[in-house]
Amino acid sequence: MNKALALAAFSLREILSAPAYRALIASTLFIAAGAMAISNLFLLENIKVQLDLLWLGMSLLTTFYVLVIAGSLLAQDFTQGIASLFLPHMSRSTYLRARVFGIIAGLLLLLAVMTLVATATLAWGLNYTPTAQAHGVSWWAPLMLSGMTLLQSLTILSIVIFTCSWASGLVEMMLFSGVFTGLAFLLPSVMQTMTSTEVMAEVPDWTAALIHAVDYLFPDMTGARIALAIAHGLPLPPAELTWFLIAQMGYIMLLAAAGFLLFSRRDL
Amino acid sequence: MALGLCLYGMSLFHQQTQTTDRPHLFTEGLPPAAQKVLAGPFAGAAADFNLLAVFSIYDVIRTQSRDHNALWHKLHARLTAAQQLDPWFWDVYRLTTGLMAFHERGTSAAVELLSKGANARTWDWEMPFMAGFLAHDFLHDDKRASELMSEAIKRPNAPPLAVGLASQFLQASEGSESSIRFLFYLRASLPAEYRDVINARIARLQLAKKRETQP
Amino acid sequence: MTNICCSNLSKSYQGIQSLVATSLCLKQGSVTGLLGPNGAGKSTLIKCILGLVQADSGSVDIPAHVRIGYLPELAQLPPSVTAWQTIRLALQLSNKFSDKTAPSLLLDRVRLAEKHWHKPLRSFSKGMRQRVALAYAIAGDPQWLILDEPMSGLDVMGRKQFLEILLELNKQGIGMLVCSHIVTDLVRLCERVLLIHQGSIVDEINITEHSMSEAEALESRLMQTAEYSHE
Repeated sequence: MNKALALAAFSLREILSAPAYRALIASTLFIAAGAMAISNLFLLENIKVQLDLLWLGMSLLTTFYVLVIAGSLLAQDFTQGIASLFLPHMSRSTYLRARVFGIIAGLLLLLAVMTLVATATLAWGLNYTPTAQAHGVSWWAPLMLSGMTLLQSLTILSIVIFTCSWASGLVEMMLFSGVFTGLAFLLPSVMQTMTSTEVMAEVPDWTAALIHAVDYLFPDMTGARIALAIAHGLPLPPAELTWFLIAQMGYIMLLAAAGFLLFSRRDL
Repeated sequence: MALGLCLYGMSLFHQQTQTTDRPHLFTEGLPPAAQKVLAGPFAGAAADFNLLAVFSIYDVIRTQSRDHNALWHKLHARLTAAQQLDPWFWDVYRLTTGLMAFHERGTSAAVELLSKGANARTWDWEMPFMAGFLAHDFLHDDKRASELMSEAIKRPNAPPLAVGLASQFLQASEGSESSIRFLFYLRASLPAEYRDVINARIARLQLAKKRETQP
Repeated sequence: MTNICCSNLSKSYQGIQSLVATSLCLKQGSVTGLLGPNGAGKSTLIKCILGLVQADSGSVDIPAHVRIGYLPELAQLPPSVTAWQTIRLALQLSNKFSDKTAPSLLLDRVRLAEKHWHKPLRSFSKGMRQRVALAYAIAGDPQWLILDEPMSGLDVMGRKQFLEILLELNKQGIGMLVCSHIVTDLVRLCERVLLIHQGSIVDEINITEHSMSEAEALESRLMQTAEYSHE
C-alpha cells in the first residue's frame, strides 16, 4: 500500500473514531428536524426556509469539523510531536498531503450524510407544499448547497493549514484559525457596506481608494446571494457563480500552497 | 459567527413574552446593515429569524390590550431587516400586506417595502400591484399608484383579473367595490390568524358602501 | 557501516542559543546517553539529527540506507485509534506489513498485554503509551533508535520493564541514542554518556560497570558542571 494512502486512511480512521465526529453525524438529524419544525411556522416559502436552515446547519457542522476536529488534529501533530512519528517514513509534503486527504475524506463523508438527510427533508417538505409555493425548487438544491459548503469548508481548511504551519501553540493555532475564518466570512459583507455609494461619498479619496483595494483583495467568499438563489429556486447568476468559484478556488490554492511551503521549513 | 447567528436567532424566538420595557436591540434587532454584516453567508436564515420575531411581536400585539405603537414600530423594523437580508422572500411581503398595510401608520412604510419587493422580485406581478393598490386606496397617491400598477400589468404572468382591477382602481368611481374584491382575494391567501386587520378593513369598506347606497 | 555523525551543529530560537557548534559520532550498535539539565539542548540536538528541526549551521551525516526509529518525548499518540491500528500503520509505512499477525508480534515484543491491543490509546496509561510508541519506533526494523526522555514519568516498575526491553533490543544489535536527565537509567543502559550543558557537549564519560557508584560519580560531574557554569 502506498505510504501516503496508508496515512490518509489512518487519518480517516482516526477522525471516524473520534467521539466529536460521531456527534456531528448524529446532529445532522437534529438539524433536519429543526429545519422541518421551524419552516412549518412560515406562510408561503416554507421550502426556502427549510433550505436556509439546512444550509446554515451544513455550514455549522462542517465549520465545526474543520476548525475543531481537523484543526486540533493538525495542531496536535505539529505541537505534540505526533507528526514526528510519520516523518521518518516520508517527506513533509507527502505527510501533510496525506493528512489533508484524510481530513477531506472525513469532510466528504459528513457532507454525504448531510446531503442525504437534507434531500429527505426536502422530499418531506415538497410533499406538503403546494406546487406554486415550491416553484423552481429543484431536487438538486441540497446537493448544490453541499457543493457550496464543500467549497466553504475547503477555504476554512486552507486557513487552518496556513495558520498551523506557522503558529507555535495549540491555542494559538485554534484561535488564529477561528479569527481568520470569521474575518473571511465577515469581511466581504463589511466591504459591501463600506463600498456603498453613501459611504464612498463621505470619505476622502485616498480612503475610498484604500477601501476599493481591500475590496479587490478580498472578494466575496460568502456566496450569500448564490445560496439565496438556490433556496428560492431561482436560476443561478452565471457570472457571479463563475467569479465566486474562481475566487474561492484561487484563495484555497494560494493559502494551502503558502501553508505547505511554511510547513516544509518549520521546526517541529 | 454562524453559532452567534444561531444564538441570536434563538434569542429572537423566545421574545414573544417580552414587553416594550426590554431594551430595543432585543425586540427591534440590530440595524439591517449590521445584521447583513453579521449574517455573512447566512442572509436567508437571518431573514427567517427576523420573521420569527415578527410572529412573536404580532402575537404580543394580539394578546395585549395596551398601546401598541412601539410594537408596530418594532414589527416594521423586523420586516425591513428581513427585506434587506433576503429581498426575494415572499413571506416578508405577504406579512407586510397582511399586518402593516392596513394599520393606520403602516401603509406608507408598507408601500415602500412592497416597492422594494417589486424591484427584487422582477417576475412577480403581485408586489407592484399590491403597492399600487395601497398607494391608491390609502395614500391617495394616484400618480404613484398608476406607476406601480402599470408596472404590475407589464409583468409576464399578470392575470386578466389584475389587469381589470388595475384599470378599475384608477377610475375613482369604482374604488370601493374593487377594493373589497381585491381584499377578499388577499384575505384568501393568508392564514386565519393573520386575517384580523384585513377583515376589519373589509368591514369598514362594506359599511361605507352601504351608507353610500342608502338614501 | 551505519554510523551517525554530526558536526558543528548550531541552533538558536529567537536569539537564544540552544546548540553551539556541537559535534558527535555514534558507532554502529552502541548505546550513547545524552545527559544534561532541562533546557541544555538535548532534545534540540536529537531533533536536528532527525531533521525535525533545521540547524542554523553544521551538518548531519546519516548514510541513506540507515533506518532510524524515534521515540519522542512524552510519546504522544493519536488518541482515538487503537494500539493495533497504530502499529499496523507503522508497519505499512515501513513496507513491512505482511499479515495481521505482524502488529500483534510487535506489541507482544514490547510486553503490552493482549487485552489492550484493540482499545483506543486515550484510555492507556503513560507507561502503556510509551510501550506502544516503542513498538511503533521498532516497527521498521531500525538499526538505530533515538529516544527522547523515554522513561520520564514512569513508575519504578514501568521504568524497570522499559529498561529491560531496551537492553534486549540492544542485544539484537540496535544502536541507541538516549536523551535523559535521569542518571541511573543512563548508567544502566549506556556505554558512554555525553554531558551536555548550555548547548555544548562539555564532557564524555565511559560507563564500564553500570553500577550505583558510577551513577553517583556521573551525578556529581553533572552537578559540578551546572554549578561551574552558574558561577
